[in-house]
Amino acid sequence: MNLAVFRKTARETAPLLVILTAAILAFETLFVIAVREFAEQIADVWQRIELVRLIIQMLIGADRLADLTPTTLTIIGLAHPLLYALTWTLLLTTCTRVIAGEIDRGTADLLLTLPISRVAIYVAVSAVWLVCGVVLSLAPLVGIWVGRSLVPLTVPIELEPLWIPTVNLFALYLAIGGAVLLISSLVSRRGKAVAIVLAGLLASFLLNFLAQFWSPAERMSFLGLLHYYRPLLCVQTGEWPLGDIAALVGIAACCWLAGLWWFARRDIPAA
Amino acid sequence: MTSDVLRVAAPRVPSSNRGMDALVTHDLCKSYGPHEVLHKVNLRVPSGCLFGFLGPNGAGKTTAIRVLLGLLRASAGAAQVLGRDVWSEGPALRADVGYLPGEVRLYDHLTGRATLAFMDAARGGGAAKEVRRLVARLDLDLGKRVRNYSRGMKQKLGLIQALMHRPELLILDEPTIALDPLVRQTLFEELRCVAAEGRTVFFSSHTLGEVEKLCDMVAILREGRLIAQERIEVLRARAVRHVEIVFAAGGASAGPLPPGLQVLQQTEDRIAATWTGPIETLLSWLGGRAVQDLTIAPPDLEDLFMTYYQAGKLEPRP
Repeated sequence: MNLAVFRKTARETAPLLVILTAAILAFETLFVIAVREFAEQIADVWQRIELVRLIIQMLIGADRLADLTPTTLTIIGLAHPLLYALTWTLLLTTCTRVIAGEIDRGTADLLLTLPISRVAIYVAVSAVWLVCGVVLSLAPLVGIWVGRSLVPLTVPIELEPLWIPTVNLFALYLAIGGAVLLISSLVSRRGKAVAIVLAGLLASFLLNFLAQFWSPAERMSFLGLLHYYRPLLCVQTGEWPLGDIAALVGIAACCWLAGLWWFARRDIPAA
Repeated sequence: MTSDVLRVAAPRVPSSNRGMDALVTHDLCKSYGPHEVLHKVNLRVPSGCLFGFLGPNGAGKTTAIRVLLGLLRASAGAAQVLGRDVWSEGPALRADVGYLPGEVRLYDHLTGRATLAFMDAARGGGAAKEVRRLVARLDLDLGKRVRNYSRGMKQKLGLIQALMHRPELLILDEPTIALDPLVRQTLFEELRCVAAEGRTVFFSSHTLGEVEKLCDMVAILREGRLIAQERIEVLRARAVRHVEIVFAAGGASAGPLPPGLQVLQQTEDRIAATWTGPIETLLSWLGGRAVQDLTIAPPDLEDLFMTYYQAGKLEPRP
């Protein structure tokens, strides 16, 4: 890894990371407050309106209305589209900046003619991506902790079971990031890389939604990354979803290695 | 044997060399699908040389440079820079190479100072003194963000980053674009100093004038083929000179003309012509005639290069 490239990439990513982490913290804190204020209404809407039930089921990966507690209600905040949007913003920005982005801007001509191997550049960018992932994945848990401290509930939110979806969320972050790095290595236009990844994520989201009520989609749902993130299930059972985490980490590793292999060999066209 | 191979003569190594060639390619090819951009390019750049790399736009100069820097992978053939393979030993050899791209693209959000600090850190540091010298020499304000720089200022910053680590080989792709004449002069002086220290300058351009002014050797690329590689004086000897000879009455029509003299205009006592070949031959021919006045212009390389550049011909005019 080249420290100069790591520091430069980290400096460029830091402002966005701070903004997005603050947004996630604020969202989760507000969500805990909402759970206290509107727990009954949320549970009522969840149970009564079919579409809402399907959407929540798609987001949290289970249809278990029994045993609804403040802790299980908080799970919605760990799989909310807003959380996804904030996380994916950072992933797309960071993981497309150095390969597709540098080629697109033409700065790759200078970066890749420095005495640094392409492997070292790729590893430096990946290190920034990993550090950001740890911060972003912990942010929801910290936000819930802050919310719990600010507004004590009659039945308190338990933080311990929430470590399981937090780790699962980090694995999801790794899988998506690995895919973004791979796409970024394959193309020479940043906009194209972002478009491909967004299309893939939206397809995964849609597949996950359709799988809740359409059996052909259910059979194919294993193809979508979101299939491997089911926070409610693991919180309610208290079991670590090792298969899901292994699948996500495996996808991340395969994509990351394929991206590295391709980047180390590809031609770098002029901008 | 193809005509391009015939044209490429082995260059003489300048006295300042360090005992090896700075850059050697052997049958270097680069294709994109069926489109061949470089065809069997055999370049040899001696160390310590100011080497001009000429060719019209689209000749393949930038592609050749990108292959030499490891940005593109050669489709066939081999290339060595400073004795190392450009693809498998790229990072190590690039420590001794400075590069200025044809169109300098820098990090817009960084200041000039931060840009150079990053480049220096990525190279392992130690260039601060040389940066200060070059900044003073090129008169550049490093405090501004690159996005606020003019094109000329960006070019200066690009030159500083290419020169600041005192590389053994400097590869400059159209470096004088956007530079005013004074800065261009400063750059040429700087490059002459680089060569005087035994370091090598590989100077790509499509403008003959600046290559002629600066370089010891020149290679000409056209349509992806190397069609000539010579010392400048050898090319000059091959180039035409415009001559005007005034004879004593009636002398212009006396006797046969030597083979290198192409008459443009002739009267009874005056010949306006072009001369190709050793000047001694012309003087020797004139020695036996009553010449009243003689004008011989310096060799006109422009004519020779235009011949090289013309599409559809691989041989220059005799």
